[in-house]
Parts: sequence; C-alpha cells; structure tokens
Amino acid sequence: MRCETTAANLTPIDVEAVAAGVACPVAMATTLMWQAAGATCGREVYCREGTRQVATILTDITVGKGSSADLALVDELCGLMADLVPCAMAGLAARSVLDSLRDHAEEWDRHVRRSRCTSLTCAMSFTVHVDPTTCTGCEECRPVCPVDAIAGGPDLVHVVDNDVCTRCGACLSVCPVSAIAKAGPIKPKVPDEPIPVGSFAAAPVPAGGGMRRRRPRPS
Amino acid sequence: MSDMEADVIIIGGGASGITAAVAAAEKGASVIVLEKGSTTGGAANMGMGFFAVESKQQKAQMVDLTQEAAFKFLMEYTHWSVDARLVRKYIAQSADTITWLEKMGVEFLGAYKYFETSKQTWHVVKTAGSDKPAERAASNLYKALTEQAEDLGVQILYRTKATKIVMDDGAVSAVELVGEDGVAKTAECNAVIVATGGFGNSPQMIHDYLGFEWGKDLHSFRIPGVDGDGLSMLWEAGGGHTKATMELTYTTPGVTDVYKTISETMRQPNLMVNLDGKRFIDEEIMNNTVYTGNSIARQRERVAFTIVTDSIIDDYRAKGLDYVTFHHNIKTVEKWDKEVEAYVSGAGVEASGLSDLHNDEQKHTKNFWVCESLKEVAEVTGIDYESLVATVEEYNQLCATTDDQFFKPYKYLRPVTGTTYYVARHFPAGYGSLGGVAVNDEMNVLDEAGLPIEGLYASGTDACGIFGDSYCFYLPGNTMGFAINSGRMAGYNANAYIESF
Amino acid sequence: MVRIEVDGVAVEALPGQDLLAACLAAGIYVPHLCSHPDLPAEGGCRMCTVEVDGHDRPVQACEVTVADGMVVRTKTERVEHIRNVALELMLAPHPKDCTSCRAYLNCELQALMQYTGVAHSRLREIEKETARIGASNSIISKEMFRCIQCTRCIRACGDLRGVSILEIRHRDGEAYVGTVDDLPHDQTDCRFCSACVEVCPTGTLMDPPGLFREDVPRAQALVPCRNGCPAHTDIPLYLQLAGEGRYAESVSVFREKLTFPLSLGYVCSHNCESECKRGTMDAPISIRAVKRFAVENDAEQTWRERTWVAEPTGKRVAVVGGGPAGLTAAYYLTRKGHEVTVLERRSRPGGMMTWGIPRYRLPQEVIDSEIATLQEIAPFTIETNVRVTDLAPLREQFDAVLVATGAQAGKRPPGYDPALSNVVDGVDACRRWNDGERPRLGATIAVLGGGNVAFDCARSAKRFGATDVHVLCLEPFDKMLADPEEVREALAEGITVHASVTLTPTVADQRVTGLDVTDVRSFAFTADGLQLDLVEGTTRELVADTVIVATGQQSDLTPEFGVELGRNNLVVTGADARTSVEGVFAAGDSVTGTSTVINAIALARAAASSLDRYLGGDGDIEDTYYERPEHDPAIGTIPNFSQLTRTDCRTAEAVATETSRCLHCELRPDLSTVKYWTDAVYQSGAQQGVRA
Repeated sequence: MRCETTAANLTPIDVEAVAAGVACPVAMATTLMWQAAGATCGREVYCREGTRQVATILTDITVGKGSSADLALVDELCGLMADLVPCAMAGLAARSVLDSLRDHAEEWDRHVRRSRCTSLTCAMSFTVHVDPTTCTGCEECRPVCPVDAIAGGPDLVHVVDNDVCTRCGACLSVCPVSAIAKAGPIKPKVPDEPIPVGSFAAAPVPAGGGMRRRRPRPS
Repeated sequence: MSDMEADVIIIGGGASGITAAVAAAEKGASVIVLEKGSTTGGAANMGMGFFAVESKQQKAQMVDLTQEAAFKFLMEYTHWSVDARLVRKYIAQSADTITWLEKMGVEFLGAYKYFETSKQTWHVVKTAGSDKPAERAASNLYKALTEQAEDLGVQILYRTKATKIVMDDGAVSAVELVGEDGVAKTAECNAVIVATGGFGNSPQMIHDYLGFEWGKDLHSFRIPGVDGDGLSMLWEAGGGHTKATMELTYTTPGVTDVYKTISETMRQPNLMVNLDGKRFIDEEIMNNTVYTGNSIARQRERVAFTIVTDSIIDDYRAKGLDYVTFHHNIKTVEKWDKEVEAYVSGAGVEASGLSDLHNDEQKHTKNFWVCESLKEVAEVTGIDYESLVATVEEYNQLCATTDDQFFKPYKYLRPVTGTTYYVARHFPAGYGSLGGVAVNDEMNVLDEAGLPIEGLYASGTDACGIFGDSYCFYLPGNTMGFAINSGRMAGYNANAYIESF
Repeated sequence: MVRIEVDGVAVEALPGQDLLAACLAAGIYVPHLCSHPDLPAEGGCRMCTVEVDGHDRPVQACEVTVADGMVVRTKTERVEHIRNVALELMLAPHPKDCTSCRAYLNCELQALMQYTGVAHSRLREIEKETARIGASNSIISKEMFRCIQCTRCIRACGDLRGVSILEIRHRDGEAYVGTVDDLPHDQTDCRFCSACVEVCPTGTLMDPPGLFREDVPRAQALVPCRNGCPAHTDIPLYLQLAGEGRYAESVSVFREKLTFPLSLGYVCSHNCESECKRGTMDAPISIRAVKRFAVENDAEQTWRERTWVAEPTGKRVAVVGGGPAGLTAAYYLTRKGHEVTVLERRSRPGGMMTWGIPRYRLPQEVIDSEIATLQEIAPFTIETNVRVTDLAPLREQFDAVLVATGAQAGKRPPGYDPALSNVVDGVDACRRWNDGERPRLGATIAVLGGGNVAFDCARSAKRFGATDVHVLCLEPFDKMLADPEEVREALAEGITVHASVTLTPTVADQRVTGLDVTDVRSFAFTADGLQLDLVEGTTRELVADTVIVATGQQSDLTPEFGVELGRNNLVVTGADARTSVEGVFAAGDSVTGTSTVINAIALARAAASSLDRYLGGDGDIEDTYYERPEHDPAIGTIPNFSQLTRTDCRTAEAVATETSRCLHCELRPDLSTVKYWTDAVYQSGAQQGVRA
C-alpha cells in the first residue's frame, strides 16, 4: 500500500522550547499523535489504530494515568509504525515520539512514574492557587471557571478548590494582577476560605533567606 | 546561636526517616534530614517489600485478609502486650500508604506470602524491567521517596551525624550535629523525629539489652551505622525505656548466603537435633525462621544441627526441594555436588563472605560436614553419640509410621538412612533490634512516667514495640511496614504539633 | 510455472500470482484478514506480513507478485511481531462481547486470535465516537462497532459490484467505514446484493436472523426465490432476460422446469415471491407476472428447437388422471421414449386447472393451448371419460402406471350432513360451474374456509348474482391459506371476510337455516380434537341461502383401487414416488392432498424421472434451452433503486422496471469462501509440499 498523506498539518515537537523548560515534550507528543490519528486515511492498521492507540496512551500519561510499562509500549508501537506506515504523515509522528523518548527520557520517566511535568504543562503535575497577598478580590476570575471551583466575593481573597479544578488554566490569563499561578509539589500557604483582602498574614522571612525556616514557637 | 533551622529535623534517612520527611513536608513543614551515610533508605535497602492489609493489590489477588482479622491476629500473637491503638492505626493506614507511594512512582508486583502458612501481606516492589521479585528491590522505593522529598524542598544532609537532642523547657528546641565538614553545629527546630534503626550493629548493646554474645551465639546482620545512637539520644533527652527484642532467625555461618544450595537444602524440614542428640522441634516450622531461631536459642550453647543423607539428597534431586523461598530462588539441588566439594575442600572459605566483624577463629570455623557414619557426625559436631544413634533409630521408625512425637506431617518424614551423612550447624541470627524507647500511638516519645515529651517523636525500628517478644513472621513485611507507616504518622503528627502553635 | 521456496518448502506458483495466493494454494497457511480471493489487494492489515530474501523490510504477501527463485519466510520472530501487534491494535477498539456476537465461531478475527495467540490486555481499550454510525435494514444487519476496517466491504461494493456506496469516512478525527454521506442504504445506490455481508470477516455486517432458510444447503438458501420454487426454476436469470426484452430466452429458462408456464403465469401460488428478499424492503418482484408477459410475448419459442424426444423404448405407461401432474409426467415419459396413455375421468383434461380454478382466473384456452403444446412435442394419448377404480387391469396392459388422480372429494366439518339441501362442497361447485352450470344460489351465501377454493367459490358466487357473500374461517386474517391477491380482490368485489370465527349451524327441514358465528381468540388442534378459546358474547346469527363448504379436499380413492392409502385416502409413496405396488408410481394432490399446480409439476417431474429409471432409462429429464453465460459480478447502479415500486408488468417497460428491482441474490454464492487456519487444506498442506 502506498499513501500520499503528507505531514504538512502536523505540529512538530518544539525541542528548543523543551530544552528551555517552557514546553512539555509529552504534551507536545500527545498533540502531535492526535493530529496524526485525525489525519489518517484509515486504510492501514498501524497508521489508523497505531496513532490512536499511542495518542490514547500519551493522553493517559499527561493526566497521571500512565505507568513505566507505557514507555516501553509506546516505544514498541512507534518503532513498528516508523518502519511500516505507508505515508510520510504517520511516519513523522512516530519518529518524533521515538526521538523525544530518547532525547527527553528523564522527563518522560518523571511523567509516568511520578506524575511530574517540569514545565507544569500536564494537568496531573500542578495545582492552581491565588496568591492571597496579591489578589484584589476583583472577581474577574470566577465567571471564567467552567466548573465553579473558585470561591470568593467582592474584596475577598479568592480560593481555588483544587479537588474541583480541572486545570484548564482559564483563570490564569484573566487575572488583572497575575495573582493566580500554578504550583508544583511545593504548595504556597493560602487560606482555606475566602478572607478579606489584606488580612492574610505573610510568612516571616526565614533566617538566612532560605526556604527552610522554623515557625516561631509561642513563648 | 543556630547554624540552620527547620520546623522538623529528622535524625536518620532510612525507611522511616525519609518517609517521615516526605509526610511532614507534604503538609507544609520545612524539614531537614540528618543522615550519617551517603544515601537514603538505610537498612531497608536490603528489603524487598512491606506489609499492608486491604490494598488494591490484595483485592485484585482475591486476598481475603481483612483489617479486623490482621488486627486480631497480631493482638492474639502478642497476647495484647502491645499498644493496640498504635497497631490499629498502623493497620488502618497500611493500604493507603501503598497508594500514596504509587503516586510517587513506586510500582508493586503484588502481595506475597513469605512462607506457605503466612498471610499474603508482603507487597514486593517492582524493579525496572522485571516482573519477578528481586532481592534488594526496595531500594527503588527509597529512590522514589528521596526524589519526592527533594521535590518538596526537604534538605537532606548526608554524612552528617546528630549528637544530641536539645531540650528547652520540656520541649524540643534544637539538634546538635557534626556536619560533613567535621564541624559541630546546632540546628534549631520545633520537632525532632528519631528514626535511626536500632542497635543491630552494636555488640555491646546486643549484649546489654538482648543477652547474646555476638559472633559466638548470635550471628545477626550488622548493618553499618545502626549503632543505637538514636536510642541513646532519646534516652538522654528523657525518653522512657522499653524492652528491646530482636527479629530472630537462624543461620549457618559461612554457608548461608554463600553456598546457597547447601544452605537451602540444610534448611529443609529434616531431622534437627541439639548437642544432646535430641529432637526439640517439629521441623515443619523451619520455614518460620523466627520460631526456629527462638527454638535454637534455648538449646544448650544455642546451637542445633540438621542431618540429611545421600538418599534424601537423591529424593530432592528427583522431586525438587520441599521449601522454596523465591527470594533465594533455590528450587533444586543441581548445584549440590559442586558446592559440597568447594566447601569441603576449603576453596571457598576465604571468599565465604563472612562479615569482617567475625574474628579470625570464627571465620575458619566449619559449620557443615560430610561424614561416613553417625560416629563421625558425633565426633565433628560434639553431639552426644549414643543419644544421636537412639534418636536416628527412633526418627526412622517414626518415618515408617507417624511422627507422634512432634506431629511433623508424613510428607516431610524422610528416614536418615544411606552411606553419607551431611550435617549443618545452625546458630541464632537476626535482622537487628526492635524497640527500646516508649512512644504513644502518635509516635510521640514518652518519658519514664509515660507522659509525652513535646516535639519529640520516634519511628521505625527504634520505636517498634508492636511485636511483643517475637517478630510476627505470619504477617510478612512488618518491619519495613512499621518503619514506613510509623514514619508517615510521625511526620504528619510532628507537623500537626507545629500547626497547633 | 514459477518456482519459489516458502519456509524451506518448494512451491510452484502461477505466473503473476500474488505470494499470498500462491502460499494458500500450496496448502501453506499465511494469516490474512483484509485479503479476499475475489477482491483486489488492499495491504492494510499486515496479517500476511512475510520476509522475502532480498527485501530489507518485511512485505505483505498479498502485495508481492511471485518471481522465480523467491525465498520466503512466513514465521520469523519479526513477522510474527508485526502481525501480532497489528492484531492487538485491531482488537483494541473491537468489543469484547464475542459470546453475544452472531459470528461467534464463524469469525475470521476470532480464528486469527486463536492462530496467533494474541489477546489485547496490554493495549488501551479504544472507544470510537463513530462506531455506531450506520443503521441496520431488513436486508443488512449492521453492527459497525465490530468493524475492524479491513475495507473488504468497500472493495466488494465498489471494485466487484460497481456500486460504490461504502467508503472510509472521517468525522471527529476518526476514520470509519460508512455509506456515502452516512445515508441509510435505501437512500443510496445500494443494490442490496449483500456482497458486503458475504465478505465481512467479522460480525459487523450480517444477514438479519431468519432472512434465509437454514434447513437447506447455504448456497441454495442464499437465492430464496429459486429455492422457494418447488421446481427450482432459475428465476433470477429469466427475470433478467425478460427485463432485457429477451423473452424467448427468458421462456427457455423456465421451460426447462415447467410444463404449464402460461397457466402458472395466471395462477401460480408463487412461493418465489413470498420468499423474495425484496419483499422485506417494500414488495417482492412480480415474478409471476413477468413470466406471463414473457410467454405471451415470446414469438420465436426458440426453446422448441432445443428440445428432444428419445427413441421409442417399446415400454407402455398408463397415467391415471389428466391434471397438471399426470400431463407433466406423460410429457416427460413420452419424451423419454415411452408410449403413454393418459386416462382422464372427465370430459376434458387439465384436472383442477380445468375443473377447479374459475375461468375468470384461468381461461380454458390457455390450458388447452398448453396441453396442445405438450402433445405437439411429446405425442401421448389422452383418453377422456375413463374412470379407473381398479389398477389391476392396467398393470396387465402397461409396463408401469402413474397415479395422479388428485384430491377430488370435499371434506366437511362435523354437523354438515351431505343430505342437507342448501349445503354444497366447494370443490363440487367449482367443477359444476366450470362445466357450464349456472346455479341458483340465492342472495346470501356463506362460504366456509379460508383457502383459495373458498375464495374461488365466493367470487364465483358473486359473479352468479349473489349479493351478500361471506367467507368465514377459523384462522386469523393474516394466516388464511388463500393467496393474498385473491383475498384482496375478493374484498374489492364486496365480499365480506370473517376471520377467527367458529360456526354452529342450525338445521331444520334438511336445510341449514342459520349459522351462529362466534369470535375465536385462539385455537389449537390437540389429541382431544380442536380446542377453541371463544370470545364470550360475540355470537351473532348469519342466515344464508346457500352454504358452501370449502374446508379442504381429500383423495377419493378407495382401497379397491389397489394401492396402499393413508390419511385422507392419500396414496402412500416411498422414495422415488413408488407406491406399495411394484411398477405403480404416484404424484400430485393424490399424494400430497390439495396443493398447487407448481407443486404438482415438480412432483410429477420427479415421479417421471423415477418411473423412467424403473423402465430402464437413465431418468434424466433435465433440459438446457438456454446456455448460461458467466455471471457478471458488476451490477452497477440503477437510479432510485430502492424507490422503484412493483409494477403490473403489462408492458415491456414495466417488465424492465420490475426486473430491475431484483437484488441479484444469485451472485452471492459466486463469492469465494475464506478458509480458516483450521482448514484441512492447511493442516495437511505442509506435508504435501516438497522439501527444498
């Protein structure tokens, strides 16, 4: 079988952005593989089902449902696809994933084993918090939340319920004072409930300026 | 004048300490870990997995052990002489700890038994690229915990030795330490968690607290660094004493872990006698190494002997061994002749792997012999000859009928007949000490009066008093299981203590 | 011959043959899924991956043409890996409900799982949004969620049939097999030939349950009209020829099986139409009307040129009864060289065609002309007004006898004494009326029975002036035995039909003075007789001037006739139409009870063949009046195919339209059957090969 489908509409993995730590190779590979699955002519099994299978596995990895066995599986499937698919399109997608698996091995491993994503792109790797010292209580963020995960009110510091939050990121871009940010493993201290703006007691600056500090003990 | 500070300082980065660090940091505490060695995981790096009940692995494997059954089992086993509240919390948290670790990237092969009649509670860690249990597999677990701790901002100071817990007005206020640079420093803190792993490497403390003379009547593991310094600091800071024990097992020095086929074959359920030439055990329980260790420890000179013959070896050649432990992975006797020849010729003695801690005499003491007669057996071992002959005669009769002495099942009754006798000498051994300092069910250290000391916590082996006088081998994975779970509890509780300010 | 080596075995292949076909032909199984012997290669499933020396990558055997000296390996680790992963990938979106799939154990995918040992646990299960697009219809059962996208159906529809309504479609980023624009089949150019169903390797495209009979061989059942015709007339072919205006050739085709085609064109019970698959869509092809039009428009009668009569054998045969069965047997026996005398009890031959079926349905001239045609070709003697009551003399005079006396006697339910003056048997009435009697029946007529005879009587009575005609029967309306057309026309003529009723006659003065009619909910024949579940309170009285009983007929033979009789005095026959008496055969209604003309013809043909063998002949009465060309699998498209309605077939154009409605079921058995790895050919094949 010969197939003339070209890779023109695929978004390649931006290795420079990955190297700069601002893009996630797993997320980009996932996007790429879904593009390939959507562009398949559908006649050849590795192109049709292989792209979809790999894209499904990659999606699982980006939401924290991957396992270390998945990397070997993706490697095996993409290896076969790179060899067998009859078009340039799926071939490029498979080879891009293979290259990334090799070049960004550590980042892939962090994703599957520890649900970590260096650039905090993948949903399983971060939580979303409103900085209680910056938030002005303007309420711009609340209506854009699709799942109503932000509590707050006029002149109250807003609080994100991360059990509800889907990590869509919509609120981050609308905050006029950039008070909303993603957090990796280390979570900032924020109030559990909305409190009046300005009432949050900022943590004392630790001795020596490092982050390990002892909280003052009442005398 | 403090050189550094943190909410919580953890002394010891082994299984319990590193887990405590992750737990405390996860809740928002700033944490420093003081570790004498160059890496984390401590003695637990030699393990393979740990205890849990009602885990998702057990559910998937249709294991029907419930929390209730495990709790009752352990409390019956210890005659309710241990802290029921702590046991209950430990068992309740155990399954969640598995899931908690999986989120950090730890993978488990599943739940295993340690021996035929044990419960299936041992969650063996998966190693990269393998789907089979592997010795030392748990080191993967400590890598994951260490990475997690680092991600959470925990500062781990390696090659750093704590020397003193500083108290201020009845509460913990700092730790004195000697850093990697050899300079003494003070680190201020609000809470200390001591998790130093007991005193398995201290012959003196073994002698003082357990009553064995190491290298003579006890050949336990001596993991470097497990020197009892944590317990000493705890006691010095006011921690109360409790009776320490050891997780006993038994060993054939110079053979076990070196000549694996000889060792495993001589640990099969065949005739075992003491120096008096008498049976003292239903050899079927030899797969429960704690019971066997206990039993040997109460014999004269704390030694015992197993005797097999060429006809028994032939039977094993045909059928394979009775007891197979997957961590040693010796299922057949195909290497028997080769190992026996190597041992007897003395070719292997220098490379026997015996600890440097054994003295020269101990290193050259033979503990396995090949004899042509019972007479020769008695001569080389010191077993009473006439009694031995009578015992063998009686045992062979039991083999033809039934063991109405100790009720060993018929399938393990192989008569001691043939032309060659193989004899191994066994001594008590052990994995290290258990317990020594009093804690409550929040891992908070208690003083001699039984009252909690503010900010002072202990976890893992230093605080492990939940097994009574003997380690409970029927619930395998318990030493590491308690280390990890008590560390997790200590981390959470230390943080909660600080949050209460 | 091309010589290649496959797994160390020397194999001879045909020049130009693909490697897969060459291996399979040599008995070497190579797994394959998208390949089908009748379809162009697709190369999309990777199952037939093999390694060929000189190629750095594995190739698909279906895509490679054999070449002399080619060295092929079909079982290397590498090809098995490629195959197995391909199968895993196909299984990932495939449902795991095999046990609720009708293709279970007849599924190529399932067999490939067996062969390869592949399951699908290590891959993600894939759910596709598009998997449920595509509705079933009465001809094609579609469970598209089972589709593995092998594209066999697409190639069968396009490359093979030239219809091309199936394609790979794309929606929501998914590729799936569907119809053009996802339309229901009846809004596409689909010809409902079911080639897609035949080639589907899974349970995705299936025949709906019950579409085909399962009690006959599959190839036979797949062409329901031909299978449904008692004489197995080659219906699809004569329809096609008639549609093309080739009436002589069309007639030639059914003349091979039928002796009274024009009569059948009027009155055939047309079981073929009941079985016709198009009937499940809208209405069956009007097969009977096409046949009649073809006969009526066959000016050349070319079939006569190809018929034959054998040399005389000197054997004499008596045929008792000159109905369709007797005359058919006489015709074939005469052509086989025997001297045949038909002994007919009445004044004219034709049996129930002449004496039972009313003239408005079947004109006498049609019957007479068809009998004349038979006698022209095969000059047998018909002696009329000869009633045979004892076989013994005939057995003296003739070498063999065929009994075809029909079912002449009316069968009355209890309560209708023969002496009642205003009660007549339907069969007798029809006979007398066809003989010219013009009865005085009165204004109100009750006809008992739900079969064709009952309706013949009712419609005749109407024609004789009765104003108020009622047909009453026990069966529910949709279960009446009469031809639906008869019922429809009767209703159109103003006849009242009472279905699901039971009757109790009131008798006075040797007359039935009234009938109590009661509705019946259900009925059953049990060991205790007829059991009725009556609807209480529905009894009403029908007062009729004449009651015609048309509740069935039986043979009027008596034991004195000389052959063993069974239930309803029917002749007992064994294999080959033999009766209990040596040299005596039987056929038609006297064997089966009241049946149809076409059945009588079919039985008579079989009896004639058997009798001929008895007389020393070869029994071969088959004719070939039309040489079959090879089927053209490419049927192409016809505008508005699904919307073409059944025509009256009164004009050539109408016949052309009507025959174009045909689904061409006859093409389906032409498709090859795919052999599984378990097939004996492959199990023994490797040993048969020559070791290289």
